[in-house]
Amino acid sequence: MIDDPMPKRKLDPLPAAAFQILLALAGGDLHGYAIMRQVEEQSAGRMRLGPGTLYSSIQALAEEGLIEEVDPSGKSESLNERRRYYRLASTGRKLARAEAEKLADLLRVARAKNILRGEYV
Amino acid sequence: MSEKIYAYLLRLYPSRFREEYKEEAIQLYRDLYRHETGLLRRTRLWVGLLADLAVGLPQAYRNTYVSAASSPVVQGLLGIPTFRLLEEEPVRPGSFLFGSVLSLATLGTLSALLSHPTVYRAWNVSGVSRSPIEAVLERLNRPTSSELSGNESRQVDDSVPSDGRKAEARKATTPAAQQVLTPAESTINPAERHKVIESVVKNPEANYPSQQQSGKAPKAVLRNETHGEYDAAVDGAVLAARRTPDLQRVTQPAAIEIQRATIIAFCPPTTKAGVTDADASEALSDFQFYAERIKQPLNKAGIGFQILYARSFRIRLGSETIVFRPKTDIGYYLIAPGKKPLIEYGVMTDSDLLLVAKRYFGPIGLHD
Repeated sequence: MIDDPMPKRKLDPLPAAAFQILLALAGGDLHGYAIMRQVEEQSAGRMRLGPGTLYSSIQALAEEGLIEEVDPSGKSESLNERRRYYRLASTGRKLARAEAEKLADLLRVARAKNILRGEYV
Repeated sequence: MSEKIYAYLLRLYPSRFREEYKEEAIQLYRDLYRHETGLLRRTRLWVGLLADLAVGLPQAYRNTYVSAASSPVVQGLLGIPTFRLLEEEPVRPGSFLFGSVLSLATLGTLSALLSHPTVYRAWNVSGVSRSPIEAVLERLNRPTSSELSGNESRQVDDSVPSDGRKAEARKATTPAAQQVLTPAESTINPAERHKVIESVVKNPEANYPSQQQSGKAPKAVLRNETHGEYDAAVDGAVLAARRTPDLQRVTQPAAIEIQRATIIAFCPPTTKAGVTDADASEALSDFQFYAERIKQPLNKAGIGFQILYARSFRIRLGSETIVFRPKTDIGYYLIAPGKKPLIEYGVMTDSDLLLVAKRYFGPIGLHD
């Protein structure tokens, strides 16, 4: 059992979409469309965020201080397609790690009960 | 065009959301639209966008649109119930208009649906409540494979109900001079009409389980056909509507004279072939099976036993005539002179019925 160091938050339990966004941003700063693509890729196409879900989740994560908007200067975008970039904040990284550990615990239980075979981590 | 539609859909989101993310969302939509080519993929894109509305809208309205860093008050109030304003600006006049139009459209649709006349169909319309004529007509009106494969010389009007209600309604709403149906509306010609009648006459046992009824019904149909009473019926539903009361009249059983202890097993007028519901069919089979088995022991004991296929029946007990209308379809009516009748509903096995009879009539030679 892991002690949860995070205070009680609005995003508790963490919705799947928000967790996927945190994971996507763990690889670096991304804009909305890139987050959407990354989520689709890392979930093997199982989760596809639409604009409404994506930006509502981004807003919720930003309100909780889990992600932050970063200055897009230096990113290669044309002036008429200037995009907003988001970065994983340190609290967001901690939350993502805690959530991943919870899932890992569940995974261990599932394996112990022979629900999952060895091909899963 | 589709971008405009999406921009219009975005107006469903709270104004703070739109201020923050409208451009981003439209940009994202453009990216998706550019990426998804072909009708199928774009259809899938729109299905996804509509599903996204359902998921994203509640989340968008839950957000406070106050960043954590710039709102120490919100952070300090975590866990304490607070009121939040969904919108900080007054509702736009356009929203009132949109709401009004949407409400009127909804009300209009509902009232149109409620006022739309629909044909009443009883749950057991294919079984118990259908007359033999209606059953035959339905079989005749069923399109054949050649008709289904494009033969348009004789089209079957599926909207014509087999119970004749539509024909009656048509009569009521058209002037008397127009009551003769036009050839386009007619679904039955004289040859088909004769085939319907012939079918009832040839196989009365299939339509009437009671021998008394199966004997009377064909005679009545033939007599009426000879007299040309049905010549005007060029529509299947009209024919059914005109035959059914005739048949009901001739198959109405006379009053049953009660002179000794008697059991009347009753069941609605139906046949095994006419019952399509599995439970009803099983009940009818059981009813007939146990009724046949109980006949002999009852007769030996001097108890009269009669099977009636009717929705109601009359009983004459001395000078008194009782009309009995069962509450449910199948059951048993036990009666004896000087005794109050006993009614048992539902199908009973022969042994159960013997027990009930013993209890009601007393020990009069009944053995298990």
